[in-house]
Amino acid sequence: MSPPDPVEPSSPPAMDSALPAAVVATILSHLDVLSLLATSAVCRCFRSCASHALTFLSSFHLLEVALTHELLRPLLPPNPSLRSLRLDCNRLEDAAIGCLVRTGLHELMLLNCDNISGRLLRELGATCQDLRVLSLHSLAERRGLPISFSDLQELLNGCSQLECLRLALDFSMFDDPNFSHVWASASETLTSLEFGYIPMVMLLELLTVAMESQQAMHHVKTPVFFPSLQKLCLSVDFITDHLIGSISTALPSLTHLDLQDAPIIEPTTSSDLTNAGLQRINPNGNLKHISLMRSQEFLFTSFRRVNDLGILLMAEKCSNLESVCLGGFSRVTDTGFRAIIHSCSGLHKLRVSHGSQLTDLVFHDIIATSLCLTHVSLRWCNLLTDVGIERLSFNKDLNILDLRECRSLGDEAVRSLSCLPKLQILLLDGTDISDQALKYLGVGTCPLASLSLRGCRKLTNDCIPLLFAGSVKQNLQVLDLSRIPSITDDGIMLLARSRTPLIELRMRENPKVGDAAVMALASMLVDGGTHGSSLQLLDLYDCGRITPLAIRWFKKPYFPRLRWLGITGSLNRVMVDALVRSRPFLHMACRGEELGTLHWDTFSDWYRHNDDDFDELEQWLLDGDLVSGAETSLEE
Amino acid sequence: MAAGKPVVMVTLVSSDGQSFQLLEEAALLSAMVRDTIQIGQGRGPAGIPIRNITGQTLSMVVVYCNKHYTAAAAADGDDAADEEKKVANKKQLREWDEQFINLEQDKLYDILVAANNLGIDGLVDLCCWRFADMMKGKSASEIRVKLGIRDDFTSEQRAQIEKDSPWVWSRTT
Repeated sequence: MSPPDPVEPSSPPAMDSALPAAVVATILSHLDVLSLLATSAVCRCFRSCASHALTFLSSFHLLEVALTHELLRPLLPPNPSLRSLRLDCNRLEDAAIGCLVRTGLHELMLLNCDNISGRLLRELGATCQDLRVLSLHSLAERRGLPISFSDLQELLNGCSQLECLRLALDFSMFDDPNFSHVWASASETLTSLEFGYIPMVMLLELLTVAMESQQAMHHVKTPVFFPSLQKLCLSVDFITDHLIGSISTALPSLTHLDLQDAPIIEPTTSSDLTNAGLQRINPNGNLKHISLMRSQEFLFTSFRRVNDLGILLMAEKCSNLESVCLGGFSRVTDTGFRAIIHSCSGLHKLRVSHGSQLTDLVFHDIIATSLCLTHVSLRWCNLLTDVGIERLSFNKDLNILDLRECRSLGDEAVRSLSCLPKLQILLLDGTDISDQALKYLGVGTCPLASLSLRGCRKLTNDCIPLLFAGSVKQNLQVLDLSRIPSITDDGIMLLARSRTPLIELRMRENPKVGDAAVMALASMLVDGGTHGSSLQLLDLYDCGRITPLAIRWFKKPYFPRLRWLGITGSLNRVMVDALVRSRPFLHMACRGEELGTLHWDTFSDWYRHNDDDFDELEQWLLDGDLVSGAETSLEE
Repeated sequence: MAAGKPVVMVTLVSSDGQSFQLLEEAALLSAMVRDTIQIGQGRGPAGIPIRNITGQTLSMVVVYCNKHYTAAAAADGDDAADEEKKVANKKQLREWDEQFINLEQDKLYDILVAANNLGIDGLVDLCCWRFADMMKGKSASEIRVKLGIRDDFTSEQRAQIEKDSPWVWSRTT
């Protein structure tokens, strides 16, 4: 084919001319889908090899853009080797179901299925007998789309190999007299089950049926429910003692329990969690992960009927715990939290939010334990001070640390963290740090990949050169500088000048950031100048000095990699609309939404992830791969 | 490994006349050598001539074959070994591979061609992986520059690409 380019005499021979097409196709099949599609525009040889590779790829993961059916169809030719398919279905409707439902699939993960009806479940049941992992997000949420119990029934009857089922949707649409019984026909190998919201009546009935079948097992031949279930994640109206007791009895082999509620009215004594309920959790000590969260989405509320005693009772049986997440236990004090730290020797993930009574004393003698914590999140723990964090920093394995809204933390806390050798994600939103803290980070040795300074109001422009003085710019990919009133265009110019190849930059609601900042970022050159800005996500929502002039910096060829842009839509409606038309695959958010792919996924909080999922985040951190949204998944 | 087994060596001769001796079992990683020996040739003192592969490249290929043969032999040797150790060994070998293949592009290219001609699947895969790693996240023009490839599309084809994949426009230009 084409001769080698005579650029320089020593240049290697052109790869496309000397290698057999099969070898080129093998090379391409090692690429992520987006890179593969880029190679198909390199030359004719690559183009034909890329389209060949699409017929034997074993996995097709494309979550970065939501394609229309017309654009997607040619990318998914018949491919008997395809085992794993992950897509953003934002622009797909029922017509695309044929494209998604494939015989050989083992894994199917679809985000934003709002415009696809329940027919998808039915067709999956009819076609995908080998499906092991199914994850669907907001299926049929568009008003008027049909989805019914019989769809679920077909799915469970048909996919007899299912191991992991994750349906992030409202189960009240599956309300049917047979809802409980249909699970007897579900795959026997089902190990993981995650529901979006499920009404209490349906859930309790299901658990009752499961319990009855267990008790009757010896006398009559009854259907078996969930013989191998290990992981259960649910969102309910109220977490109650009765619910915990039923789960413990009906599903004794669970290793992973994750419950969340969001009360719309204050729970009564009979519909709330108490110390007695916590005592019934984990009766056999099998649990490795417990997550109990009370969300304040609708009501300022907490688990008011649980105190230290409840946590002490729970901790007694929890020596096997590896990960614990407690949200909204407002009456639990240091005594309770210490009980967990001291009785769970294998604990590596600890997450407490709204621990309004948690103080430094929790970590006072942490050095005496053998704990090896890797992920710690202490949100809204206002009594926590620098002393506690210094104690915590004895854990040299800390990888992710979330201290958002711990308002009493200051520079000394950051100083003690700045030499942690594995710290990659650090979230300091709303803490009381100053530029001095960033100086510590700048001269420190953390391999930070993601840093959030949102709402640290004491910071000034000077913090930028201090942060990038040392090794930080080698690894940092995600930075949040939102809501820092003193940050101006000058600060952002310093950031651009540091030539840090950031992938995500958030600086929303900064009154003094304007067009000059956008210009500086747009003309930023990294990696020898061939690249243009490396940013994939830029949030400028409600930046005070952005004018319509800024819009032109988002046109071709600036920001070549940008996929997410947050901006104030009222700025200039006409120009924003024109930009949307010229860059159809740029997600524009004009109403202040948080940006990022996984942000919409209510299941994406890291504490919920099992180890497999987590590897992906680590993978992303390690390779600097294009799996965006890992940071946003922490946003909650 | 079996101590009584006679040690058979094979000689590979590169295009520029350098010869390399290695254990026959290690050389058998190459499908080409396997075929040659099967038809009863190559065991003699003249060795197996390897056309189109220079001594410099062949020496690297020999290093790879020796390492992988030794690793496989060690794994066979203690077959009772626990799973954990096996996983650790595998990981170690993978790390060695990655270190080994961390090469300049032209050397990598030579090795890929050599591995492909000799039919050493593992090495072909490793080179492919490394090439893919170099192309990951790059735009079409960046790949062209990096690999010295000429854009041979007609303007009609170019328009078709824009139409087929508008979401990569930024990466194709």
